[in-house]
Amino acid sequence: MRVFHIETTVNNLAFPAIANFMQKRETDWTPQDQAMFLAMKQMTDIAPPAFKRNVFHAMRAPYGMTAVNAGQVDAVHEKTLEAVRNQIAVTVEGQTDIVTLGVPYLGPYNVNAPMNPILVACMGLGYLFNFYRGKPVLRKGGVLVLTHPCRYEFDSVQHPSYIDYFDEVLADTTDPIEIEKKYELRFAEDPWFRQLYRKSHAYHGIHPHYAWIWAAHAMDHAGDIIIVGGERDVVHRLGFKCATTLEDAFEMAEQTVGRHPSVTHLRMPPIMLCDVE
Amino acid sequence: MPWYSGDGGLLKLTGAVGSVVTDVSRVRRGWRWSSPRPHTWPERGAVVPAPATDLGWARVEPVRTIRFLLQRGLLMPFTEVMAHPKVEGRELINELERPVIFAANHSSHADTSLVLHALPDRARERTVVAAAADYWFKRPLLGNVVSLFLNTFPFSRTGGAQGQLHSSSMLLKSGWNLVLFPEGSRSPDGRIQEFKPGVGHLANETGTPVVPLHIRGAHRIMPKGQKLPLPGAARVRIGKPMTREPKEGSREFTARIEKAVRALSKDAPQPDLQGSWIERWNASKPRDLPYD
Repeated sequence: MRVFHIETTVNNLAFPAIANFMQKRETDWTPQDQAMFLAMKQMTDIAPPAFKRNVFHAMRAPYGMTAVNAGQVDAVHEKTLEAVRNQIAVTVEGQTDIVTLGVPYLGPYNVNAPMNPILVACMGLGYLFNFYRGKPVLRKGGVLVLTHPCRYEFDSVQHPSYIDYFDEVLADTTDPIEIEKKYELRFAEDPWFRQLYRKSHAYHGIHPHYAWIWAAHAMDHAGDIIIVGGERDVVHRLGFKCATTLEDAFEMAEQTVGRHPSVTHLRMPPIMLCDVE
Repeated sequence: MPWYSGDGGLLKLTGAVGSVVTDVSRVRRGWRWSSPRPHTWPERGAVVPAPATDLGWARVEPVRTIRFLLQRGLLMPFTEVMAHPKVEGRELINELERPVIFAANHSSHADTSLVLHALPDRARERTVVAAAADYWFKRPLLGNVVSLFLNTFPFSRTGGAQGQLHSSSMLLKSGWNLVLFPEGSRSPDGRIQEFKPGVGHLANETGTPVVPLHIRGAHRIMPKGQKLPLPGAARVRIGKPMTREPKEGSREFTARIEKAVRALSKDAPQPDLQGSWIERWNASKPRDLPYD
């Protein structure tokens, strides 16, 4: 059978004009960007979480197409990967002691739903930490600092099994291997979660487990994980440390990486791939 | 509890104002508003240019109602006062059943309001005007304000013919009439210039009828280069809707449209109306030529 294959790539334009400042470097912000930032900060300070979520989730990304490749399957895919690499590769000078990251409000699994704590771990540690080729930006045993409100909020329609996973499993242990032994089968075969997965709009019962395992490499690699601005109880349940401000987080990191650490902040443009030299 | 104590009320308001002030001063410090860009900052990065807007907001409610009111309340009376436009052939487009392209000659900014004035209400409500993207939409605010009044959409005059055709044909397919000035830009002396083939191409691709229009007098109201309109008489003559002949190419169709617009510009010879009826009767008699 002859197969004709078409692949396209899109750019990183994830925000409409109103929130475009979020994908520029701060040093590149125009007076309009600064004004938008100030206005949006006031809004996020005052507005209730559900309102903010609705505003942010209502934004539609005006992606533009950057490449269209068509032809034989393997050749096309190779070209597409090359185009993507050219587009998102970022050179980073050496590994560092501390990496700071802002976890975005949106991940692949929380469209029109709050980003629950397990998904925060999945997004911050599973996705963003792993945006590298070769070796991670963070040195082995370094400190990973994430910023996220990390509230105890779940979407009971989309993420029913996440609630049980957070309340029962993570209260017992946060070790992925132990969880796999004790709980994996139970969540995978739970008839009610299966029913919701098939007949409702829920993710599968085992989904939170895979989201958690996704973060395992980062948890193994980092010496400490600190979430700035998170709810204390929730962050502690995940097995991480909680700080009120970034300055506090650096103070706490001192115990692990010493008084004069090197710090790298990864802006999320929102997708990138670090090439560590 | 009095208003000045507790968590709510004035105290909260003061707190909110205080936090705004803190944020503004922090931004001011961070970006050094009062001094030039520090040399230690990295070079400005490349920014993905924002995609061109098609001004979809101007074609949905409640903007349509607002525009209707603006046009009826401001634009139409203003046009009436300034130009006393005489419209001929309106009956030909009273009962349009499908979207059409209005192709008019272009000698002035006043053309658009004269065309809109000439259209019946039902047609005007569903009419978009192609405005040069490189002229009207260079400044976004101007483009948006003009669009609010006249329902314009950005029409690229340079390159990107396929994309332009696509957005225009999408408008036609979704039931909008389209006002096009096929000359491409305003005539410098009021005479009709050569039509660009885009109009025929668009009509061919979408199978849309084209209504030729001729506007006379707009050039005197507001010629190219003049900032403000001056009062003057204008006439808009509307022709019969034209459809493409079978096997007719875009360029041939465009030439036929241009011919139709030029034909509309010519006045019918006026019979000599002097004298009593018998004199006029005699004058209209075929003459006996002195030679044969």
